Amino acid sequence: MSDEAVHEQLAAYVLHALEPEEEAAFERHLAACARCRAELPSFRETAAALAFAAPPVAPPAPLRERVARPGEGAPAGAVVLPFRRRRLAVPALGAIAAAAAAAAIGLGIWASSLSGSLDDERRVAAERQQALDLLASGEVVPVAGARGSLVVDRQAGTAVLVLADVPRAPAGRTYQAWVIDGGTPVSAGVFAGGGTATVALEQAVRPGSVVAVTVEQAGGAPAPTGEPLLSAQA
Amino acid sequence: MWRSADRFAEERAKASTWILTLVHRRAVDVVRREERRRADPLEAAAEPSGDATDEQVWQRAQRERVRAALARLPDAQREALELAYWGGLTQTEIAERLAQPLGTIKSRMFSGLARLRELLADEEEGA
Repeated sequence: MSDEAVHEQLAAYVLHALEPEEEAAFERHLAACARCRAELPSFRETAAALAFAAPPVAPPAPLRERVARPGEGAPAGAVVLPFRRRRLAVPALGAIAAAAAAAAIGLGIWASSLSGSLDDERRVAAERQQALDLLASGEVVPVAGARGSLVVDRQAGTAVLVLADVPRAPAGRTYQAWVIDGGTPVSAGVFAGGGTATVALEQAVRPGSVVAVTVEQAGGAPAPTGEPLLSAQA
Repeated sequence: MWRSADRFAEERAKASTWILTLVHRRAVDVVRREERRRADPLEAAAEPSGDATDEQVWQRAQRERVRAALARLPDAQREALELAYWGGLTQTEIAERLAQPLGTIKSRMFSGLARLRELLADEEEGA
């Protein structure tokens, strides 16, 4: 590979278009290449902006025909992000999350149309809808102690913790999320870390309750033993 | 290591990029997941009705802006970017699909994204 081709992979990297081994190799290159590191933020920002060009509803026409079911009366293949008017703690981020959700749904439909599988398309659309509906409609609460957000659906009482750049938990240890509602922390799930963590909390998160994360023994602990690494108040 | 929430809140533009990057990554992971299983039938949601929210207005403006920039890219570059971003394809898969050498696809993606960056920046300055 020529020297230039190594640097050029920055584009595929930010577009998530590298094979896993290529991605690992490029991250090693990135650690050693000041030029690519300098370009990374603006490339990442540009790739992220593609989300806004999302075709929000319509999959390609042939796909629409395949999805159509006579007599059902539903707009064929339509996956429309339900916009709900909610107070958003961070309005711009709420809009971003909505755009992201629309983009992800669009991606699912697009990718499925390339692979030609209707089942895939339905599966992906349904999964995206479920996972991202919360992201799109929830309230975004900043997290103290980490780069990330707590996204809360106040009506349903569900919440997702999204954290960036979480170091992998040490061997034999795990991250454990807690919901503290009135005094006693209740376990809300464990996760390993290592990059981006998206943790769907297993406990209801009511207004005023606090979500915290500690490091515990592998498998999780019945009650927190360590200091909280981060916290967020719902 | 981890940054403080205050700083995170101040860096909203970066946070936006982060969320969009995160969600795109997860969507790509989902479409690449090897295990296939059936899901509940796709349900069509109702079109949002009533007055457009500020968010929707803002999103539409962003969409027009990015689409206009994309339209100015050479077709081959735009195609490579779209297959990667919307198709969830790897650069190798794109090369196979288009029957082009991998090096050509890498160059197109890089040139396309670099040009898109310029076009979006120009637009911001002119706005």
